[in-house]
Amino acid sequence: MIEMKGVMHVIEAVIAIAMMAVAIAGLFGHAQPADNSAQLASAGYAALQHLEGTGQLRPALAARDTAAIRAMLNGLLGSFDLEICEPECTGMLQPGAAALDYFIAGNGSYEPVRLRLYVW
Amino acid sequence: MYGDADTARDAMKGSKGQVFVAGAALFVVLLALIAANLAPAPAMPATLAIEAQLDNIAQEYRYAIGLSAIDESDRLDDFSSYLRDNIQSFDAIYALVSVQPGTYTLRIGNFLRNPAAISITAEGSSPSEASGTVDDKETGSWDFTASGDVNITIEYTIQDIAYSQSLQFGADKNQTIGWFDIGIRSGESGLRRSGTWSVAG
Repeated sequence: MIEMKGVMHVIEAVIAIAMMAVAIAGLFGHAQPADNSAQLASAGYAALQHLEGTGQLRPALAARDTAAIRAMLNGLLGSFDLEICEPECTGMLQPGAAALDYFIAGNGSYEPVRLRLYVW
Repeated sequence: MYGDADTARDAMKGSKGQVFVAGAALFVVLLALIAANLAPAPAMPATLAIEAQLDNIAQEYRYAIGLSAIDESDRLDDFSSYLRDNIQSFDAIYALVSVQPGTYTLRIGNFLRNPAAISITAEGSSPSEASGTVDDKETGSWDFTASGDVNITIEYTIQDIAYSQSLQFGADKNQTIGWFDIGIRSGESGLRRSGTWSVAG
């Protein structure tokens, strides 16, 4: 009888510990690493808008000159990669990176271009 | 006397485990309360990026209005089709007015994924009213004669919801006027931008 009581105590204690563990896991398990992809995308757009404001981006995009665009962005963004999507984008999004699409309708004549920028 | 004390002690011993469970339950409730009060407001990470993308696209709609003036064609139609093909949740409606002294053409492009019933009131123009239905990814076109100031009111109805947009311009000089309303959906909500732009000549 005494042994039975002891077993019951152990079971109850285990249940109590399990409840607390589940509660703690539920509370802190949702705390995922901060998703800063939107901030990265915003920074990417800001850099591209800055280059558009200087008049450098549109001619380079219209010419599909990714090397020139890369050189312009080097001083504005940390880690990034880019591609011109014609018509599909083929790059792979790495974990923790943000992908954003930047469009131009043309440069003096109608010729739309889609630039995909990956920032991390 | 001693017998009663032993019984009470035994009862206490027997309820130790239940006290643990009750304490754990209380702990869980407290944690839930703390979580409810300290949880940060739900962030809208996608919103920032969509806002920036809409700024980019709105800028290019203005550019496309300028290209329409240069090319004497409807580049908003081309650009809207292009964006619909490249952005899954993109939609748009626009009006493009091409004015030559004494006459003008109004084009309305519907890229809102549903047919749009259009009703036009054109003050200072002949005819003074026009209407029609423009299907999704289609453009409607209406010709008017006018002199002096023109005030167009475009009413469009999509899925029983009516919207209205006005444009004012002079019909005595060459110019191109464009209005656009563009949107990108994100989950259950969506963000929109609208603007007007005019190009002389």
